Amino acid sequence: MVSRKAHKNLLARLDSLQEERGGGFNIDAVAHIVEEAVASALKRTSEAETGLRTELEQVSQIIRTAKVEIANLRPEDVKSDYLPAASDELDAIIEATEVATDEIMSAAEKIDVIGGELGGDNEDRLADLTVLIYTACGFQDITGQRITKVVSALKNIEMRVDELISALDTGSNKGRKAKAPKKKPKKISKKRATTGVGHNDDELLQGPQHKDQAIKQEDIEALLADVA
Amino acid sequence: MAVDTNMRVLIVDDYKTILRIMRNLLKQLDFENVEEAIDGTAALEKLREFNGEFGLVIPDWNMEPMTGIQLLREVRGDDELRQIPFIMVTAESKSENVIAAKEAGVSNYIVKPFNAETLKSKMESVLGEF
Repeated sequence: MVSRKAHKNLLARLDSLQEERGGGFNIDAVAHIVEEAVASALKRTSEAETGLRTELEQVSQIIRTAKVEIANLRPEDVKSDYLPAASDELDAIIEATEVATDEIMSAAEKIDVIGGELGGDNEDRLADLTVLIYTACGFQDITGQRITKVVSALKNIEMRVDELISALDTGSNKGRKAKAPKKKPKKISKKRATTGVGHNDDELLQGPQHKDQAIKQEDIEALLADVA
Repeated sequence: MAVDTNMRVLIVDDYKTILRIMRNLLKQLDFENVEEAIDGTAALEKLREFNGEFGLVIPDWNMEPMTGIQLLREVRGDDELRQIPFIMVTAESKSENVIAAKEAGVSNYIVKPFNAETLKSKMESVLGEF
């Protein structure tokens, strides 16, 4: 399409020609002017098109390179091998700590019984120590919840990798579809209820925090008093 | 008035180890009349089964299908059960959790991991010294 500027130039040249010729037109002169205008317009369009084509080719090359690089990373292996293996290892950790904790607790309970048989000071001393053992065994709950958070993050990564594989369609994964994780993370509540602090119940379920982010035991009383 | 350590206490947690720890710690504090439930739904059934004759409920927060805070709301909304003291014992350790629990009617709040002294002092702040 001829631009407005070109159109204006063309009209100006035709006006000037008409003036020169005293109101008449020489068809060859008009044809010459139109040819020049069209050639100039085509040249401009062609330059723009060439630039755009070059850029598109560069983008296309970048995408092809990225696809090859991502395919070399073998995202299918990440999804099919590494992530499930990591998840299984974490499950095994939970299981092993559960068994170990159970044994430690059983031993402490037996020590308690022995302390009761001994009586006197020894009973009290042993009881103090077994209390320490009991509370220390609480680590299994905390580590379990932390590991559950990691497993949940792995499931999330698995879904993203699945989406990446589908989006790239690298050839080795044709026919595969993005799937939701098989197992739902254990400690996520389905129910939602909004609390007075503006969070729903799900948002409040965040599990153990790092020390610098968790409220201190001694600060809880003050906070409870403030809310009251 | 001295606290009746023979009162019935309900501990609620989906980790068996925590139930066991709690039972042992309560035993050391002379509270031996302890019932257990593995989530809020089971706890609510137990509370109703005993017509609310519990001196204290110690629930975890994060359980399925009914969480500790949902249990707390159910109990506070039930005329027969609403007076039972609740001490939430949980790994949920953000201040917004404490505020939400307080607004739902919690009596006190313990962040895991905790020690026996913390449990005793929080129980005393709710029940009185023992």
